[in-house]
Amino acid sequence: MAVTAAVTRREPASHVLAIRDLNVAFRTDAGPVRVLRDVSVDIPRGAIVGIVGESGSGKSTLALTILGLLPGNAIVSSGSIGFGGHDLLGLSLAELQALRGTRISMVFQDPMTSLNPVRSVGAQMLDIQYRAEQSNARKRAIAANALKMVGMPDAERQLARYPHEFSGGMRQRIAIAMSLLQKPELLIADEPTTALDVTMEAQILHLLRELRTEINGSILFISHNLGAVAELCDSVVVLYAGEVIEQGPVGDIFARPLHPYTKALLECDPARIAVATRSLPTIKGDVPSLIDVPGGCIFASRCPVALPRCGSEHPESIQRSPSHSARCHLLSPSGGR
Amino acid sequence: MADLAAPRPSIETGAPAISRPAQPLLEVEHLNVRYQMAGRIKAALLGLKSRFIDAVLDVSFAVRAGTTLALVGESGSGKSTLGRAIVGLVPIAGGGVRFEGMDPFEHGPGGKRDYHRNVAMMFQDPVSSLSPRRTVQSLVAEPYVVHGLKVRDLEAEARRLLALVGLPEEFLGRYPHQLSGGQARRVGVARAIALSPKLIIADEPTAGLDVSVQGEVLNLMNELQQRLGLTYLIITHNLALVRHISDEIAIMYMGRFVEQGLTEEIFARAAHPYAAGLIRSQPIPDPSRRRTEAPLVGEVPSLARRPAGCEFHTRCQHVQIRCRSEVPAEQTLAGGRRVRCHFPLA
Amino acid sequence: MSVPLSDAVKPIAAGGLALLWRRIAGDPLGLLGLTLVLLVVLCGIFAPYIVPFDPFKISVPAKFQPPSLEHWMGTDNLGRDIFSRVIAGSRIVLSVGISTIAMALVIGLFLGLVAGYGPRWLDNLLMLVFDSIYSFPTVILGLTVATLLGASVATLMLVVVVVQTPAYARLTRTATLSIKTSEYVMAIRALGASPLRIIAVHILPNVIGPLLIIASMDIPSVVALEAGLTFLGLGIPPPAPSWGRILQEGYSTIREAPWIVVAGGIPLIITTLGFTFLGESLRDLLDPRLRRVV
Repeated sequence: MAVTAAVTRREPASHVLAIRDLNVAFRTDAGPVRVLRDVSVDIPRGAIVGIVGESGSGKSTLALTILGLLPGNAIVSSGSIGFGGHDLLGLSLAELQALRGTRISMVFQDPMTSLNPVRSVGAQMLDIQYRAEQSNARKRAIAANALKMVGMPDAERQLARYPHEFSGGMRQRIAIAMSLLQKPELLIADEPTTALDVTMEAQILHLLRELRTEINGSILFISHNLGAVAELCDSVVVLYAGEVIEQGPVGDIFARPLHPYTKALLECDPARIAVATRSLPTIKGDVPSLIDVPGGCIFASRCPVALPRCGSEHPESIQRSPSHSARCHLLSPSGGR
Repeated sequence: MADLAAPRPSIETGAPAISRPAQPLLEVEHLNVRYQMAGRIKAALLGLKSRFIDAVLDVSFAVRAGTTLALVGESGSGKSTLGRAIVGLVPIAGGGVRFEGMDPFEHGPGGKRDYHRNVAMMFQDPVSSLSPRRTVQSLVAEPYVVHGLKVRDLEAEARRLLALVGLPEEFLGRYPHQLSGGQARRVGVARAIALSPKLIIADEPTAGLDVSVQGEVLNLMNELQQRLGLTYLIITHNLALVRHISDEIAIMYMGRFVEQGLTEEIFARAAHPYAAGLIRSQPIPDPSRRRTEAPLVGEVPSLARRPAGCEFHTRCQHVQIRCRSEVPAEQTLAGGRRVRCHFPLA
Repeated sequence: MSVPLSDAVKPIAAGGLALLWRRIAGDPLGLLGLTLVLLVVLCGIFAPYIVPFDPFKISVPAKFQPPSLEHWMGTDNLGRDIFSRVIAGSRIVLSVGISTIAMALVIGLFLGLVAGYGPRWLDNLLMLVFDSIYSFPTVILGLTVATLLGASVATLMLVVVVVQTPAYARLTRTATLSIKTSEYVMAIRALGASPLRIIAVHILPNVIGPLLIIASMDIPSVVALEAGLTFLGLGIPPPAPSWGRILQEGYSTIREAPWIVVAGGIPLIITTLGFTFLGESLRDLLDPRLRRVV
């Protein structure tokens, strides 16, 4: 039976989350935009997995799909998201809501908009614990403790203050504290440092790394910032135009990238260019239309080393080592011929 | 390119940067910009020491023609305010601006008009700095209309400008929302160079652009600088980029310049502890060189409650007693670097 | 994901009126709206030539006649031909509804721009005036004015303009304030543009769209206001065939002659729908981001 097969195939015990062959499209007037195609990602227990991609890569859509927060015009046409023995895509809204905030939680890019401006921080942190059958005093203590954990000085007093009384960096700390209140197994952080200054970003990255050891949860860290990913993550998934084109351990991805897109992306990062130059590298061309997705390799039109085969034949994901794989014809035993 | 419009000297033959005189193009002297935070009554009721917030405090610098100066700082450091004050979008509370040796705001509307032709500004958001209901053609040609310049053929002029920034002619009829971030940025550049200015002030020219696209925009700006002899004042928080695109940098903290000098010198060895911390805060895209702790702890204090003494002393790792009470004066180090610190690191 | 749109979108100035017409024609609801509005406007202009009977001619023996081939909408309690009265009533819609809204729109737009772009003290002063008018109940204001100046069409128009202007001025002011601080206005100020140009070229086109829609949707409610004030004896003096009056009269005799209310209501509905559809369509045309490909 297909159902039992799917259940047994899903996440081995060592994985918190197992995304398999996920396809998501958005309905538009011009036709369905296929924003995610055959995406498979595993998040090992206790690991920090980075999703790297530029605008239009579908990285935020992936986060929203996991949480079941896709907008109404989205269609999940196939795939599964295994979490704690369930397929998240098959859960009812009530079941999903029971998971959100308790076992999976999310931190957003802009801490100003993800906190309610008219309720005090303490009140919001108590709201999150509405399911717990504990006294309010106990809940307050838990909240204060969470704020302490994210490095908030004078935590108890801060509970009475309102979001606008904090700086951007402090607000992001509060958002992280809130997301960790229920000790989730998985924290999804969507560009959590993009709106912050570098000094704050460094502090938040440092905080996330410390928290990982303390809460023993996994983090899915979504970012366009290669530096932040290199600083924080254990493994990296590179997303381009809705496809996972490469994934592997962070050291391999940065030191020995396999896919031409990953290589080009790393070359473009000015922070990786040792000698100052006035002529910065770029990736020529545009991301292809995701309405009429090209039949061949999705990167073929911009690839500096594309072969004739790349324009017509869609590459399979090729395993270079047990943990490092990429979708590129050049990696196949035939060398792309 | 033969049919150039009458009021504009030929862009193509603009003198190369090297042959310009040694006099700085733009000089800013002891500039102050302040915002009113409360009315007289409110200030008295709240017992505020001052009704004003100093967004820019005692800033002096000069930009030589043909070079690029980068203003670097975190949000709230006053770098954008400073840029806006230089073009006259924000009133100046003290000090002055000199452009080619003259005060642009002194000679009435005429002087100001000339100044606006010579100094163009590019704003942060590539799409929202373009008026949403106008076509690319009318946006690019708008500087001519604003300055009442009689150009025989605005469309041809718009086409020429688009060609300069590497956009095909089809874009003339498009609206800002139909452009990608990189394309919108190019339109912004075309608009900025329309009146052949001498100085372009660019506020975060790569904000919101992907890594693979930002190089394109900066290369274009660099190419135009070479061809047209432009001078740039680039306002940004992105230190990784600044290292490649600027000749000199000035680092701002709470409205003051804490350090300014040649880019390579400051990157090699920053003298001000804040500048050093800021440079080290940039995430390193190399997992084998991970940092074990955040280089700068704490937060920028509120501008309404400036710390006494050196404003950075609340976060400085090298703080000493003198720093808490005495405001450091600007001192010039060997090599012409200027720094506001009692105990510079270099 | 840049979709090539260069062929589909051309600046509106290039094709002029013909293009505008093509765009409206491509939008069925907009076309319907335009048709209905034109119907009302033409009826208003050519009312004397269209009416089959004199709308004021009383013929008591012929009262309460149901709709027939002769009297398309029947007759009222005084035996007047309702169809003729409805047609003649569209004149009042034109004068009271459209022209007062147009006046309020122009004044409101001007004051709103002044408040939004001008100095702070002027803004505060104007807002104080607008809020005072706002806080005044419309009917009480109408009563006061009518008592002072006497009930007439002119008085009614004055009341409507005074009541409607603050709404438009506030909307304009809010939009102006937010656009004033936007990056593109900063950009154009940095070019050295005059405030007049900024307002005319960059702020006005952004404000006028929503304003037109709201104004076109206000026209029916002004007609209803006219009916209400007329009922209180403050609007248009009796024999005039306003739709509001027809409705009020029909309401009192709804059991004997239900067609009167229907006859008074249908033109009101047509007008409401017409202006609403046209308003929505105009907004799409004025905003290039919403402009549909023809």
